[in-house]
Amino acid sequence: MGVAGCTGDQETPAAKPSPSPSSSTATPEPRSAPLKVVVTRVHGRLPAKARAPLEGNVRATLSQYLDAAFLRDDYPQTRFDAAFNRFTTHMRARARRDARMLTNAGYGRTTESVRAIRRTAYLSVLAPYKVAAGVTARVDLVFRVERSGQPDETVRLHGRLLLSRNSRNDWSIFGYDLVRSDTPVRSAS
Amino acid sequence: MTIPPAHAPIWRRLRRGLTLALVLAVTLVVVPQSSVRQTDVALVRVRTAQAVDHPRDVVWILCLGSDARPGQRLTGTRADAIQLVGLNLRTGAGTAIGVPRDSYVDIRGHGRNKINASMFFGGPQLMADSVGRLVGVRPDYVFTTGFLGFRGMVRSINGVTVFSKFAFRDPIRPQGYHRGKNNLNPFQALIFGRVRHPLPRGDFDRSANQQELLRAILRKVRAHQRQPGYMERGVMAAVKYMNTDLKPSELYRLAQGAAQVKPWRFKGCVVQGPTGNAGGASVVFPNVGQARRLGNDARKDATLDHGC
Repeated sequence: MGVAGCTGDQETPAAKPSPSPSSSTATPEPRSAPLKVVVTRVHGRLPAKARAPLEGNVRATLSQYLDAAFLRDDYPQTRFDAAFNRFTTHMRARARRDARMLTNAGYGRTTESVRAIRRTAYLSVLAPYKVAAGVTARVDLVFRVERSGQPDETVRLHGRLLLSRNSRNDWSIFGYDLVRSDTPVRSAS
Repeated sequence: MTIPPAHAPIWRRLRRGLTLALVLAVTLVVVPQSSVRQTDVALVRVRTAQAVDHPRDVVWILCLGSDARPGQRLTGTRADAIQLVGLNLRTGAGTAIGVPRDSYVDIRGHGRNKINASMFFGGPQLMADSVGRLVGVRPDYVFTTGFLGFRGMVRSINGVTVFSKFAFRDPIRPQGYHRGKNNLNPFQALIFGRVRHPLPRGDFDRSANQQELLRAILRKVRAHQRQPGYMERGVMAAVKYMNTDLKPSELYRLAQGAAQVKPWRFKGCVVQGPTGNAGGASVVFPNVGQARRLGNDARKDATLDHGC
């Protein structure tokens, strides 16, 4: 049972861009936390050299979902259909019914920006024959929603995303078991 | 202190007043005033969502316990335990239809014989055919395990808790099997599913005990499915100890789907029938009408709406 090195040190594409050097007079906005994806458990055998590619492939799937569902840079927004592109076909329809929980649809119209505070995914891998056959990603996403005319919200989404390999050899989300909490942010008095 | 009856109402009022004053005093001391509180109380809305996708909404699995001894091929010997299990992955319902191993049926290409001989004659495929023709439900998958495999799988989930209908004794469990709750280690779980002599209705009660074992495994898996690595460990044990033609990735999805089935919605029935002798052996003449009725009832939704 080994822990591979953290490979989540790059900024994800949809995260907020860092301030350019020319805007040095403005107070830099806090950066979104990058997505950290780490294999923490392997049942079976997964060669060490296969771990980083697996983390990278699973990261691509998770990033696509989390970025399109929450961490977008085109707010205000009401359309979140693309969030479920990496879900299996049947799961897309089911997920749309849970869209207010699985995306930022509830706040999209009044959201000015979103910033990730924590974004981690720890992977338990089933690999009976030296190849990953299934993955449970234990995700923990905390983000701050800045809203116009409304109190900001801190949202935490945590739990399990279940992944299997699809015919294109990518990873698809075929199940979710998530808890979401929304906490209004009160300004200090 | 003795209170004269005439003064009792006054005393009660006084006592209520003192109690109220005490409560107010404690409240003022313990609860900080709002001006000095450091944090606001915020309303946190918590929601949950859970769903697992499987290509089929209803899955039928023929679960077989082979009596293969060490060195024997799992699928080349007779099947001791025969359970046709339906899982509705959409509604979370489940059904187990138990078939007594001595059921005397027509085996395709081999004439009439005990149903468990199908495994010996034609492996899991012929077994699926025989059970399918008796119940009227064709299984999608056949899972076969042996004594060691069953124990290995139960070990991977750290034992099970069963609710036994009968108390009975067996050397493997010195304290005996009690009526009601029993925490069983892997070997004790195997015996719970194998013994029939101490049970009032022999093979029929044994089949019901096997269904209770399936329910116990489901309870255990559901209770622990959120533990990191728990599902992967369980599926790994299934890959190692079970004979199936499912790929590990398919088994993984099926296991995650099966974990959505609610144990309290998992019902079991055993095909009944009179016992007798045929071909010099003790057999059960299965009630084909009942078997078909159970199959018709549960075929589409894995739910027994009309009982056994």
